[in-house]
Amino acid sequence: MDELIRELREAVRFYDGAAADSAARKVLAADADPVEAIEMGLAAELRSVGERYGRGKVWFLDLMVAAQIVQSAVKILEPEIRKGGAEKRVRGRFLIGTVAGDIHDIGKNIVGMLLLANGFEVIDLGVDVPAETFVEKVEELKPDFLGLSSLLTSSLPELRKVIDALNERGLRDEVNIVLGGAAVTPDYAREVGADVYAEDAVKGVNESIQLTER
Amino acid sequence: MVPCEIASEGAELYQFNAEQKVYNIGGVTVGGDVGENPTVMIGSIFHKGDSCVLDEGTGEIDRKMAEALINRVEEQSDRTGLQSMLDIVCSIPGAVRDHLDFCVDATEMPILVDAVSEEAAIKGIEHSEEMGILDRTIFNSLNPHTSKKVLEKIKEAEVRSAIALTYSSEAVASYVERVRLLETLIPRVTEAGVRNILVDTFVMDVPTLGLSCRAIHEVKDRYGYPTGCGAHNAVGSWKSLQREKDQRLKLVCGSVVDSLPIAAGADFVFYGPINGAEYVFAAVGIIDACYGQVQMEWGKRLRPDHPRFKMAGL
Repeated sequence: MDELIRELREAVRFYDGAAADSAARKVLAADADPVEAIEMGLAAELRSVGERYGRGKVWFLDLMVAAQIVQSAVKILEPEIRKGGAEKRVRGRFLIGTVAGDIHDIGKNIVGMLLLANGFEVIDLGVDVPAETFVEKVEELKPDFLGLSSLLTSSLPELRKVIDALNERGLRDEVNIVLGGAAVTPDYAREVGADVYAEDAVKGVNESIQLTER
Repeated sequence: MVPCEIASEGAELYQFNAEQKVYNIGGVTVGGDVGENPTVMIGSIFHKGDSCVLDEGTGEIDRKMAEALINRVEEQSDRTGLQSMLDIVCSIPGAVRDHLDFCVDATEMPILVDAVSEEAAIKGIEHSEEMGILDRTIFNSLNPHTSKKVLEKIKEAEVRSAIALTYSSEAVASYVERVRLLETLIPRVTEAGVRNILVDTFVMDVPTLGLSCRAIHEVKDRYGYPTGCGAHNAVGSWKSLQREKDQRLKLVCGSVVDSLPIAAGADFVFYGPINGAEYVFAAVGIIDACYGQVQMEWGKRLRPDHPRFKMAGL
């Protein structure tokens, strides 16, 4: 198993998707533990890429490609995990999206990849998402975190709208709210009662991790 | 036209299969073969963090400072022979009219309405139409996320020039996907009545600049549209360079980044805030002077204000 884990990690480290898929198939062929392959191999190396991205040691593209490679290899392993009745261990479920009136997704996507790298299950609702959709999805999917992004000052009121709507439906206390994006300030985040103010992608993810560890 | 057999060897960088489309937008000529027309330098103003913007809530600007910066861009154009356009970042919907009014008075350069939201886009188009400046206005940008409302407004106002941005999550990591995305975007853009399509092949960081440059060649080779990219994004997103204290290192890296697409055959480049014009113009001007000489050997008579002739006296 050690050799397979080394192969998986090396494939991610060298951004080699074909090698990662091939190593994942070898895990299945060897009847090795797919959960261990994900956690000790793929996820561990993706975390390392995420950490290096946080320190400015790799490019954004590297993080993105590494995340895509891991997602592809995990897809190969997942059916075997389900068959065995085991489950991937996740740190928590994170719902993310850019609020209505704003179509910017780069920052949100970076956060999504860093979250994946840190073991969260990420559900991305996309851009220009109406407040009602966020509320419906919180009710339906029961995430641990809701990450809202707004790059534009003009769409800033939407953040409050989502939080107010969650309050009205009695869902606010069921989920931790993370606010980020260029338009959001620490004062604003405090004023609307966010749990985490994401000054940037890395800090937002790190603070969310800290919340899961409390 | 390549005059002799030997000259065609390795000439792929300089030549394209498709006939190149050349537009005149507000007196600026954009497009053509490599080195034929002076590169169009597009600098931004009123972006987030711009020191010309005194109040990011109301959009109040320091008019004197903004005017001085715009004048400096025009001086750099005169000095190098490179052409210029001004990208007005419309991030504060309430200030769009005021910012456009100011820039139209301050310069004769073509203006890009860089709309970061639907509301700002509609206001920018409406006001350009009211002012009668659509012949020198370029809408920036049409992309897969552009709403039907904006496309309808473009059609209704008869906006003729627009940037088609080849951005999608899938296209970030692939130049092939950028070209594929453009294929799906062209019908939407032409349906909106846009005749002058300029293609921005999207840059996010340094490695994606490489993909963007490769896409530039591919787009010009297949379609002949004037093509370029926001090369400067590669500098803005480069964390360790942003932390660097040595300003000269920043300038060197910035100049290479902004010049690379031109070396790859681009017709225009977004070089970031206009504050940086002085150094970028000189760097890009060198490439135009070099490539202009290739055109001359092929028998092309360049315009007298081409960087080929002006850069010597920099």
